[in-house]
Amino acid sequence: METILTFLPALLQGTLITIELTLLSLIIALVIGLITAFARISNNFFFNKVAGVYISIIRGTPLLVQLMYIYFVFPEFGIKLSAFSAALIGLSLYEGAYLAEIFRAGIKSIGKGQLEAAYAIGMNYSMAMRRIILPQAIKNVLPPIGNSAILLLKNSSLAAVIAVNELMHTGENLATTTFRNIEIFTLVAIIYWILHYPMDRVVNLLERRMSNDSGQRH
Amino acid sequence: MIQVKDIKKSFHQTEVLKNISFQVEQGEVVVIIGPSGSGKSTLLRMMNFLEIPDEGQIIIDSKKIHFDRKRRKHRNDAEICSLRSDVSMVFQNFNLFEHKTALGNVIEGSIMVRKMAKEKAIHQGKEFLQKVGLEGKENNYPHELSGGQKQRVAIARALAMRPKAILFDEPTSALDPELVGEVLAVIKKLAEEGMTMVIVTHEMGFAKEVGDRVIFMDGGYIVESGPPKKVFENPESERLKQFLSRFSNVV
Repeated sequence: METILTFLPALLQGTLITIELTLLSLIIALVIGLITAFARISNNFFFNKVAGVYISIIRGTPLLVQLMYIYFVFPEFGIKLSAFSAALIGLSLYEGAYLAEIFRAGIKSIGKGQLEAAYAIGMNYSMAMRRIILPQAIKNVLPPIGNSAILLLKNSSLAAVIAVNELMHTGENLATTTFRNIEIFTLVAIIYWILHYPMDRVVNLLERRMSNDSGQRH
Repeated sequence: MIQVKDIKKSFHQTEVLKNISFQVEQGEVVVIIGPSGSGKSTLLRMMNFLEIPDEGQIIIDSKKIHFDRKRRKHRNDAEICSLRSDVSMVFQNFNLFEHKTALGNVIEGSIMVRKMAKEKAIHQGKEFLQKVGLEGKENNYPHELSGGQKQRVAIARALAMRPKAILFDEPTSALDPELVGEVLAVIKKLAEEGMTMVIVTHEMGFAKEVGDRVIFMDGGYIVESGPPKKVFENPESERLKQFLSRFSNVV
């Protein structure tokens, strides 16, 4: 028990970095995802293709490779990044691609009648999107976004390989110096679980509310 | 008021509208009938630019828009968007904004497009809901309303734009038979008040009753048009006779 207590301060320090990394990359990814989704559904050939290639690269290669690439290969082209920045960029780009597909599915799920009705009262495309389509689409995709955020939290542990001092890396360091593998990695697992739990509850709540809604609708 | 000139439209290889011209006068109620696939809905949607013609002209209240194949306009075009608010549309499937209440649906255009002050829009919106007989339903969401009520909200939403004309695209086709009457009654009231309307419908009795003029379309052409009495009682063309014979028990 005492040994556990001696590890905790360091692990909690790492936890803070994990939370910071997850939240920041989630916020950036939401912006990237929304922009990319609009590029994907736009009629503009160039935007459409750029978005398509981006999503394809991100989904077609492992996150581990992407992180290594940003941290070790980018400096060769003169882009030097701290480990934290590299992880932040890597996770944001990764999550952004997945969120883009979720947003796109959400927008597509809103019937074209809604857009036509918005047009019919004189709205232009951007106002129709902002006022009519997106509010409904985002409500529909909140549960999958929540699930994706939980995955992001766990994926942030991969930043350990480029030596970001987040929870996983802190645990690894402690383990190699103290050989208390059982205690340390159990603690690391428990902390991840505790972090995920409130997100999981929120997703559950949203899913339940949505199924109630559609129950009324039909 | 609305003038359609030499309109042509194809979807892929199929020619849906083959050189259509007609006009709608101020205060006139024009009813378009015809078998499904005759292009009548496409024609109506063009008057609101939800479909863009391949060729031809559409003139709304002396504002003329020219279409040709070389310079294709998009339905998101700024010029088109501004014209649209003058001609409202009521859809077969209502298309109410699902995330907004009945009142929210009605005031959306007044506030966002017409830039009306919120209190004024709400005041006016309640009046329109009252007009279509939906007093007390202001705060209900679409999923809490019956089909007939939804369509009446949609009509109130169209009215709130204070349009110069309203287009109805089969407004009762998605309704249970017992709910058709309440919607037709509202449209009839608007006709009596002198609202300019173009109505695509399969309700022949209604067409005969409210129409100032009936247009019969088939195969992408206007086959026959005239006052309802003449079109329904003395049809000239074989195709119209054939079409009407299928409704003989209704008319």
